[in-house]
Amino acid sequence: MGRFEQARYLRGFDKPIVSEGEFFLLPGSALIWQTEKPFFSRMVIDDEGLRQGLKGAEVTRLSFKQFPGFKILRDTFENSLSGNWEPLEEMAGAKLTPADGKYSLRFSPKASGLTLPFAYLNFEISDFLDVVEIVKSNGDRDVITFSEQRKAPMAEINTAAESSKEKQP
Amino acid sequence: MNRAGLWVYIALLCSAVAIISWRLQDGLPLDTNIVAMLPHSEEAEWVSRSEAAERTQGTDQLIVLVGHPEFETARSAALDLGKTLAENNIVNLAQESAQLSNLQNLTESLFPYRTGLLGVGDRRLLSAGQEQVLVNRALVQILSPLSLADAELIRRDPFLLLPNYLTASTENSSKLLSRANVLAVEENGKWFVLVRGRLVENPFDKGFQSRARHIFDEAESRLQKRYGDIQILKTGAIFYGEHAYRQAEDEAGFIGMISLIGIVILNFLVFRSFQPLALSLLAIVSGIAGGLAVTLLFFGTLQLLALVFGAGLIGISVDYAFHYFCERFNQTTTVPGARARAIRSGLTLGLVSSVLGFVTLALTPFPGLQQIAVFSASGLTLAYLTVLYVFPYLDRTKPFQHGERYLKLSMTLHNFWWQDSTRKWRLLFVVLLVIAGLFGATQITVDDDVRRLQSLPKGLQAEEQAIRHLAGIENQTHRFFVRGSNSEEVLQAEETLALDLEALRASGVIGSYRMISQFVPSKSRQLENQALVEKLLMPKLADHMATIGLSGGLPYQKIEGVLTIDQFSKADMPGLISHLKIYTTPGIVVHAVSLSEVKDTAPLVKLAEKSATVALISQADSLSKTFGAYRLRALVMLGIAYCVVWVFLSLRYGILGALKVMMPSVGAVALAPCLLALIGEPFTFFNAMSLMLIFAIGLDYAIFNREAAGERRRRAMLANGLSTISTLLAFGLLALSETFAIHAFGITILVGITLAYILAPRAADLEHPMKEPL
Repeated sequence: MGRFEQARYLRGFDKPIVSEGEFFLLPGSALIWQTEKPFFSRMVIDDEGLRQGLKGAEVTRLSFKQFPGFKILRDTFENSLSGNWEPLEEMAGAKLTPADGKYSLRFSPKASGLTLPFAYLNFEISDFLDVVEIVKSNGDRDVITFSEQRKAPMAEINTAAESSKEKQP
Repeated sequence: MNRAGLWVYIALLCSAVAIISWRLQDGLPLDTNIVAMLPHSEEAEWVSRSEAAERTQGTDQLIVLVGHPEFETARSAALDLGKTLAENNIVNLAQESAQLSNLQNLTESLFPYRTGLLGVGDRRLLSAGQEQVLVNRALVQILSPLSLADAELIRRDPFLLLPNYLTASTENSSKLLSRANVLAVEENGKWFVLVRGRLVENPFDKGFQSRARHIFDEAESRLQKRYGDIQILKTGAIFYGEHAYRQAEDEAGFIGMISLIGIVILNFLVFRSFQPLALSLLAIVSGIAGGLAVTLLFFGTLQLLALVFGAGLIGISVDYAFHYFCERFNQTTTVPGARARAIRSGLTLGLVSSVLGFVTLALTPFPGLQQIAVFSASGLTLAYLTVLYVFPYLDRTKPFQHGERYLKLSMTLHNFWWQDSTRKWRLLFVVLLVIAGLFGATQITVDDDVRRLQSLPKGLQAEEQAIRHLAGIENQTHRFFVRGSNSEEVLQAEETLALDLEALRASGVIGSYRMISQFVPSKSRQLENQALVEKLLMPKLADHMATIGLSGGLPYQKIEGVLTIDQFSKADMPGLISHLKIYTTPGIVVHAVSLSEVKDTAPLVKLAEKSATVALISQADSLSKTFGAYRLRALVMLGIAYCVVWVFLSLRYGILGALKVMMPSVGAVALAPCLLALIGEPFTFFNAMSLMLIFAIGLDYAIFNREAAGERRRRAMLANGLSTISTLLAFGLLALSETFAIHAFGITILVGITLAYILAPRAADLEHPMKEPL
């Protein structure tokens, strides 16, 4: 678990849309993405798909059956956040490259014969995943910076995820 | 008269040969689709027309999944297979259009109409004044790291109305995903790539079936060699049809061979001469030629069952020949014409009775029954002419000098029924038969389940199931048809129906439903939606744009017009709405509403009853209902046929005398289903149909017993005995068939004809023998 800051650069928009919050990774079961700014919302991604809630009410539900490409993105997130680089290296067809005491990896789905909703992903890694850049084919990009990351037993993450719900105004 | 009869025969045979050669230029137009035998349903006409249209739509598809652990290998093999099938003119591939029909294409086509396209949930929220939820949702979705929305989309649709509409509409659609210009799905480490096409020709045409199967099998083994361990799953009516045809062909070959061998042995055993065999074959060939020609002339195609039943005509054609040759045991005359004269009365009465029965059958609106009736009536007529008017010209032989033993033996049954010494045994036999019949009657189970009537091969069914599972296509047992005089009316009717279906979905009666109006709402609904968006969302647009940092012109331009089904269809993706558009003709438009996970049909029936423009369709139920209705109808027609024949026979035997002649046939027809029930055979439509044959043959046996007197009776009894054996060989062997319908025929005939033969001597009248020939 840890914190994130996301800057979404949309081509032609005046400014990036910035958000920040906490994330909780429950390996093998779910990723909880809780945005606190600019407003409180909570996204849960599990094996079935993605659910987004706002003020306790579900506003979006996407099934991976409908959008199978997103399952790969989800798996990529889960693997990178949990430091499980092997499958990503395999998928990217490249090894982690050392640079300035850190590592980087670029994953381009097109080169791997996959049709996915992004052109490539850039990962910057130290002890944990520091930054991921998601670049779309039209030039849009998201830069997500992670901080305060730590590993914890599943039960502790669960409790933390539950208590963070309380932060909602 | 004899010469005139001969010329009539020659003229008819030549015409038959000409018709057959003309019709068979492109091979035998054999129809293996058992469903095509069914009459137009008794539902409202629009429903039956829609069902027919839907069947055609469904049967001309060929669906294949090519599986391999490596996506690229599966893809190459699939493209290879598709190319082979297309180049050999088997299918028109759906792939070319699939390339264009992706989500992006669909999105583009719908974009101009986005303010009129709202999912059920969004519409409800707006109607309830909760427009802020939609604004917030858009923000959440724009912020999501797994966002579907890109800059272009957000700029044009900052409330993300269209993506949310599409998500709601495509819920539960196929699991196949578009990848490298093919549709594919991954399961358990294996990729399956779809090859889908529309068959170029009729899937029930035998020639096309064989060609398609041959090319498919060749391509499959070539792919196995080239790509290694690939898995091919296939489905389509063409494969089922081809299997049914092959099975019928194999069985017909096997059963026909045994039947032929039996008849040859019987001939040699009894007549010890080649000539009866050769002339019998002439009667058979003439009969089949006549039946085939008239059927092809009137119907254009030949039903599989009509062919099987017609091939069984061999049994009756040979009966006529047996009666002729048994007359050669008559030592008192050497004139062939006298032999024909001796059997003419019985043969004519038998033929007319049979034809009357078959004509009655032809009056049913059942294409399959009509073909069988026409085939049998015309075939028998030609066989009759052969025996009476051709045999005497070809038969130049003297009476047989042997045969006393057979003649004596053949009288055993007659003696059993008429001699005083067997009175007690007779009584015992009748009592036992009546008890067995009555007990059997209480055991009769009626079975109209169409799934039993079409014996589907397990291998193909397993492949179909695998494809359904992989592609996420549910086996839909029920659906609604919705009718209107134009598309707008149907869409509005669907939207009304959707209100009830939502309630049923909420209460768990159904899992989900799909209708065209979920993709293309009615015009009035789109205008309402536009008004809601204009009134409630547009005032919040400026704030929303500022929040996400979007400046520039207003993204939602007012549009003229609404989205139409035609516009949507142009960009339709496979499996979204094309299969729901059933029937369009000036004045009538029919759409289907598919239902999944139906738990209880009663509420659905109630829904359909509420409106004359909504019908609930259950493929299996509706066919079973039709089979049930026509099982009853076949029995009613049988009753009518007996009445017609009673009137006809009364002209010769008097009212009571005719009744007496009919009793053995009636007894056999009534007892056969009861005795079959004792061995656990269900009573189906096909059993009912085979009673028609027992009716005709049973009458023949009885009439010959009634017409023959003195020494001639021995010869008639021998001919009847030979007829029974040959009929059992020709028909009774059908009981071995794996096709349920054919098995039902066979087993009923086996029991019925045996009974008819045993009971026939009771039709004789020893005190008032018939002295005057017809």
